[in-house]
Amino acid sequence: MSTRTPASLDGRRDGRASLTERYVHAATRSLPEDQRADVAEELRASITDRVESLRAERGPSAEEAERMALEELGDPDRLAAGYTGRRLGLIGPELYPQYVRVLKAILVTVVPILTAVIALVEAVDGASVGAIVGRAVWMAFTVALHVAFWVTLTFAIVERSASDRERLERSVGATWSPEQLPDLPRGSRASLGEACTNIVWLGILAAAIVWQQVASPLGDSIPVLDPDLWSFWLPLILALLAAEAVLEIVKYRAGGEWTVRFATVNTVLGAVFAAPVVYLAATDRLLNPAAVAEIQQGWAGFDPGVAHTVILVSALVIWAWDSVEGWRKALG
Amino acid sequence: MSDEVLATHLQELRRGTVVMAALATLRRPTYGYALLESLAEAGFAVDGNTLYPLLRRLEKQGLLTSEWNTEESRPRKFYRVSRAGDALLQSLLEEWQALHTSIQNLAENPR
Repeated sequence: MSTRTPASLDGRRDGRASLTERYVHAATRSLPEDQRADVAEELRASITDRVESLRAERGPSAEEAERMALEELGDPDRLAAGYTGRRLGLIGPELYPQYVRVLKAILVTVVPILTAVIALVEAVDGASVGAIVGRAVWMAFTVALHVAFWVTLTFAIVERSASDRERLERSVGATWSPEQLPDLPRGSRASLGEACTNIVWLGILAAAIVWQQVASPLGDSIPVLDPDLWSFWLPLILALLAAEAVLEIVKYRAGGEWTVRFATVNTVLGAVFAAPVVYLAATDRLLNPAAVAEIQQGWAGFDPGVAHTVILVSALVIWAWDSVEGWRKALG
Repeated sequence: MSDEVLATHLQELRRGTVVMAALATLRRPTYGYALLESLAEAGFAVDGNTLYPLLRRLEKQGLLTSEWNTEESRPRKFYRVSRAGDALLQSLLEEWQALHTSIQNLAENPR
């Protein structure tokens, strides 16, 4: 094999149209140094051959023929990829399905958890409801952006790793096996049990709210929760519990399958339910001051602030957990 | 059947034959653009941006050899099949015949 490149032709020649030169440069600049001049010279000759042939066939001007010839060859980056064997795609078809699976799985777990944590931190710091919501939304956006970027970057790197690609693919879980098949949607019998359990728990919670008012566990008919809350907040919470129960029934009647819509409603309803609890706990308004005084008679160290924080954290954790669970089932 | 469907299937079918056609043509030394034109004349419409990198790839695999010819109006890189390239062409042609026979049997004796 001879790859002798005529030295006189490496440089630019007078009269050679610059579009061709620019094209050849664009198509060969990413090639290995030792091939560049040779490929460039061949490409230059091929383009000139095509230009002459076009002019002989159809008789356009020299510039027109050159333009046509280059248009036929198409994007020089595509041609360069043909020479180097480089892949034309950030994430190719072999990796794409796993890329989407990993991205979804991380997004639906990490985003709600970190969002809940930041909301919790803000609430403990005594931020206003508006500030908590604002920070939480910003956090969700930032985290989603980071997850998307880093997952994409990881897969793009694996896509481009020529050596030991198989091991890398395994490390990001990109080799598919039958074990990864999602479970079939559970039948309605199982979801009937699930719906019943959830409705019973909602009922117990509602009953407890009413019961602590009419027959206090502290005796002396001192309600645990601040009776002032009955003017608005406690009826709202009871209404939301009823709404949660309705969602369970609707979900069961729709076939018991979690859909994206149910997961969305579940997350939103959960947030609407958690919001007043978090707000009241954050502003120390949940517990009845009389009840606090009663408890402190028996347990001097009882701190209503700590109790409120515990309630606040519990509400957020339950909401995050329930939301993630819903999304996990919906996206399978 | 729409023309578009026919066109895509024909294109799919022909894609694999370009290497065979190129190896067969290059038993006589030829440069890139001339090969493109002879292939087009023979009914193998292949684009330059596919053929030129393909020639390099075949050369790298030892199936073609090349030589610069500076005697004509402009220097051109001439390719021709190597011994290995010729052996590959023979294998491909045999496979082509086998496929042709199989397909004909299937088409003539549908079950």
